[in-house]
Amino acid sequence: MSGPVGARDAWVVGVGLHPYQRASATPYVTLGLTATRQALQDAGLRWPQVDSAYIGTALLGVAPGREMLRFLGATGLPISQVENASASGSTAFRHAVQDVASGSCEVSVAIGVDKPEPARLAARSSGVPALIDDVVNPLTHFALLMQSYMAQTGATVEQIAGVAVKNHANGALNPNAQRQKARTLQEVLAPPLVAGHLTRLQCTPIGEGAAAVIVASDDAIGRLGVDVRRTVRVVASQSRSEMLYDNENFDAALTRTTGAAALEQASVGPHDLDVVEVHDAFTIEELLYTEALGLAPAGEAAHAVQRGEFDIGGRVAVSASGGLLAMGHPTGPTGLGQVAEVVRQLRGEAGARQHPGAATGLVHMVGLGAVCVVHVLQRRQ
Amino acid sequence: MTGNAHPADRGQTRVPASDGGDTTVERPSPAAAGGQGVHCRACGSTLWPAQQYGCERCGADSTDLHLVDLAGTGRLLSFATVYSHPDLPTPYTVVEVALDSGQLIRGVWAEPASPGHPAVGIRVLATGTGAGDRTAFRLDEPLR
Repeated sequence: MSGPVGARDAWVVGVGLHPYQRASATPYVTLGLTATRQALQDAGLRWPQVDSAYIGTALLGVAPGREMLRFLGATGLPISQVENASASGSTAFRHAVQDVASGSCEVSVAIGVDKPEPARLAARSSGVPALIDDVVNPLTHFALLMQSYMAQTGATVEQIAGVAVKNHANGALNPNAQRQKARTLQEVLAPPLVAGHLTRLQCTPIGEGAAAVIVASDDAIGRLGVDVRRTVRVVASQSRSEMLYDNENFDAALTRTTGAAALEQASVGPHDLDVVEVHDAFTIEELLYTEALGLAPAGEAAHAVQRGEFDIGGRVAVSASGGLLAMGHPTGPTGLGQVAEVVRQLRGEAGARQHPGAATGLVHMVGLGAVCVVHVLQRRQ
Repeated sequence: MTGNAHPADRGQTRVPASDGGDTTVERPSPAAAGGQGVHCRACGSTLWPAQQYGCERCGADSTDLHLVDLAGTGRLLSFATVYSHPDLPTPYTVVEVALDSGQLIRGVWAEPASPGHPAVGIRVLATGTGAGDRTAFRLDEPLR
């Protein structure tokens, strides 16, 4: 391989978003087209120049892709839906990257789009007895992890809630965030509790939205007149699924494995990362995953948050977009919205959220299953 | 619901039912209540839950798998009281337990949650399966 992720390099050349918001009457087609047209404009490309499309979506139903994309002009390009639970958008991005890095396409787009429709989980009909799955929803799962983390590390409820204070402050600076209001620690901790020590503001809002990311080869960048200075290199693309971990928490173990593979592929260490977006659907998750990625020693992430190390302008900006906690988690778009944030950071175009000197960024999503997808992006040298 | 449950010393357990109602059932033996696992003759592992599709560790098919009773006792690793659920009556308390036979399983707390109970690290006893066949746990000692 001559590029870090394949036979040749793959570059992000355009990103676009439809703001994340509460469920509304807006059709998903409007959401997806808004993000895709913005990404095309950002890249300076026209739709006929796109060779393949991957639609990251988990909740819309069967075959949403062409029903949306035909309104950009029915060019006949290959369209595939990618469902990978919360990691659907990240996985769609990985397919677009592989299309370009393998040489099978010059320009590929990954589009995440979803509306909060009820999902039917395949595990419920797997025939494997899962006696208490109905009482252990994701909220309860992470409330359990929070309790055991507190017992193991001595972290306090207030320290963990500090993740939400940081991420809501970042979200207040993000016009695409579903929650755009800074919150005090008192507001974050205000009753009622929903499960364990988790309050509503420590849980992601599930809404609707869209995000699009266009990936291109060096050849396409030269031939199609893309502004090369604004291109961002994909230096790692990794995806793993859960193994047996002898009763260790699988979310953290899976993230550690996938993250280590991505950092190795990118030839960087955790200390090289400037901006990081993780699957912070619940406050506790940001602590578990930043430790698993090596951004803080085991049991130390809550202290790192308290010391401001993960702030914009700190040692490494974590969830500068507001993260899932404030920017939101519309499911299909989420992983692609992370890529859009990191690309803007690496270009120096993140405005009020700009982390100074951002050169290397990492995006991380986990999905039900469990699966994990990690990408590393780098500013053009 | 577990939040205002029954006296555990009557040998009954009450957990939220999927249909939203409560059900009271007799307590079976702890071994059966801890659930069944599957032992793999090919690799020697014993995993939860019981199924006959194949061994999650080595991939052996059902000819190498047989059902075994897991321990009805273990150590509590974590717990969380749920105060809000779209389909179930609340509050109820979910516990995560490392069984003495090695498996990690989750169940419902069969007693009213109160300050200090349950707590991480305590010894627990599987008390039976309640509505929806959910595994339930309580303190592994006489309550009072």
